[in-house]
Amino acid sequence: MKLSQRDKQMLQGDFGEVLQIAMQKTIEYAKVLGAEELIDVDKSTSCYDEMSGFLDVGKDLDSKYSLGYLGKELQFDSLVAEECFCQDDACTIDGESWEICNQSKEFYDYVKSFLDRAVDLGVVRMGSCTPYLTGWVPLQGEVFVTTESSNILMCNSVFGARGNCGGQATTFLATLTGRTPLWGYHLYENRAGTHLVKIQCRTETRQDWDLLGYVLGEQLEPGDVPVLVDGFKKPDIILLKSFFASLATTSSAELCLIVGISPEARDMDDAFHGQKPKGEILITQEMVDDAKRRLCHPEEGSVDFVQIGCPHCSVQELKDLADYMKDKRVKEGVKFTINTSFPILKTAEVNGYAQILRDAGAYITTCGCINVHEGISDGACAIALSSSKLAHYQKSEQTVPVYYGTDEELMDAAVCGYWRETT
Amino acid sequence: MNQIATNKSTSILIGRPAMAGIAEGIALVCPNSIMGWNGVDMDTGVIVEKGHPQEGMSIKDKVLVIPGSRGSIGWSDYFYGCHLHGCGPAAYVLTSMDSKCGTAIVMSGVPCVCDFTEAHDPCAEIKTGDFVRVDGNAGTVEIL
Repeated sequence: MKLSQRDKQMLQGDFGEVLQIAMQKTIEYAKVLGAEELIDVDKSTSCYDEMSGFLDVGKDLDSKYSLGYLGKELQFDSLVAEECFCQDDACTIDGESWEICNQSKEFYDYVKSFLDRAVDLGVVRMGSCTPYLTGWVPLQGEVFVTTESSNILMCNSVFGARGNCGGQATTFLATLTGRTPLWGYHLYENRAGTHLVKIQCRTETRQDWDLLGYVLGEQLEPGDVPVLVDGFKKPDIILLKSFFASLATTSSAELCLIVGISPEARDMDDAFHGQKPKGEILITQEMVDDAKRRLCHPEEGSVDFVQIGCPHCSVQELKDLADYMKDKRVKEGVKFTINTSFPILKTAEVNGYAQILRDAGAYITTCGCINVHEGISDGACAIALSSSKLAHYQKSEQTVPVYYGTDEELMDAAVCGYWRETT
Repeated sequence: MNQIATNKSTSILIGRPAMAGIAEGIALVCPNSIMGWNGVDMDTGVIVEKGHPQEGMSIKDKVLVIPGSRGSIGWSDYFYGCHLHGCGPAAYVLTSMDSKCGTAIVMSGVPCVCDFTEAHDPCAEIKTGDFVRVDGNAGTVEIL
C-alpha cells in the first residue's frame, strides 16, 4: 500500500487515536477493494443522526460513531479533515417540528443533540439530499464522498466529479481522515460507458424521467455504465435529480453518461472511450407504463397522507407547487407535506411561495422525507407519493395502499382526500 | 491483478482474497443479489425483498454468494446492521467487488473472496445448499 507521509503519521498515532484507528480502517477498506493507494477527499455529505436500528451502540454521537465505526469508545476533536468540506445528509427529524412526524419532544431533542454535536465538530448542518442545489458542487475531477445514492450519480455523471458509493461507515471514515481508496470511479479507465440506451418513451415531464430511471435501473447489471445518446428531450437538473433518484433505487449504477450534458460524453465516441458498447438496452413506453402500474395501488380510494419532494424540491419546484395550490385548500384530515432544505425554504419564504403553500394547508418539511422522517405517516389510511423511489420503498414498508402519480395528481388528491384512477 | 483460475475437478474456485479468515457454511446463492434498504431484516437476517426468489430465507451464518450489491447506498448499512445484530453471513463470495459490499465487509470483518474471472461465475457454479469453505487468506472457495 502506497501511503503519503501524512497517512503514515496518522497510522502511527501522531494525530491521536481517533485518526490512527480511522486510518487503519481506511487501509483495510483499500485492501478489501483491491486499491493500492489513497487520495484526498474534497467534499462530503454524510449522515450524523442517531442511526437507530443500524448502530445500536453508544448513547451520544461520540460513543455511537466511535463504537460503531472505529470499534472503541472515543471522543472526537473533529469529524471533518482540514481540506474537506462536509455538510450533513437527510435525517430522522424535521428542521423545526416534532409534531409533524408524530415524534415526542424527547426523541426530537435526542436526535438534535447528535446534529448539534456534529456542527460543533465541523459539519455544516444542511439536512439535504440535493446538496448541489445549494452550492455543494464538486467540479470535474474533484473527489467526493456522500451517503446519498442519487447524489453519487449526479456528481459523477453531470459534474464529472469522481466518487464511489461505499456507505455510511466508509463515508464517515473518509470525511474524518480526508482520504479514501483510489479505486473504481476515481479512475478514468472505469468511467467508460458500457451500454447504449435506446429510448422509445416520453421524456417531457418530471414523471417521465422518474419512470425512465426506474425502468432503466431494472435492466442494469452491477458495474454497468449506461449511455443516453439521443431519443430524449434534453433534461434540466430538476428532471435529472428525479431520474438519478429512481435509477439508484432499482440499480447499483454510480455513473450514467448523457451525451451533450456529461463533460466526459461530448459525443458517443467520448462516452465509450472509443470502444464498441458491450450491449444495448431498449426502453419502451410500454415498459414505462408497466412500471407505473406496478408502483401505484390499483384501486381508487381515500387518501390522507400526500408527500412531494423526493429528491428535495428546488425553489423552482416550490414556485410551481405554489402556483398550482394558490386559492386551493387541502382537505381537512389530510396531511400534505413537501420536502426541501433550509436555504430553499428560506428563499421560498422570502418570495411568498411558502406562505401560499402554508395557507393552502401544506406543511413544508426540511431535512428528510417519508423514508427517513420516522413516524411521519403513522396512522395514515393511504399514502400518495410522486417519487418512484419513495413509492418503491414505501410499498415494502406500508400495510396501507400506496399511490404513485404526478405532483399535480397528488395535489388534487390532497385537496379532495381521494385518489382517482387517471390512466 | 491477481492470477485467477478455477479448478473444477476439486470444485475449488479461485478469486481474490479480499478479507482474511476462513469460514464454512451452507451457501445461499442470489444471482440477482439482494436489495439493502427493505431487502433484508436486520433483526433476523431474513430476506424481505418483495418478489425476491429467496424471500423468507435467512442470510444468517450462510456463505452469501452474490454478484455484488444491488440498490441504494444503504446496502452497506443494512448488511453491517445484520452483523451488529448477530444475523450476518459467515462469509461473502462476490463475483466482483463493489464499494457497498466493501464497506459492509470491512466493518464486519468476515472472510471474503471476490473478483473471479468472467469465465467462472460463482453464482452459477455454486448452488444454494452446497456446503462450502471460504478461505479469505488464500482466495479460494471450496465446494465440500
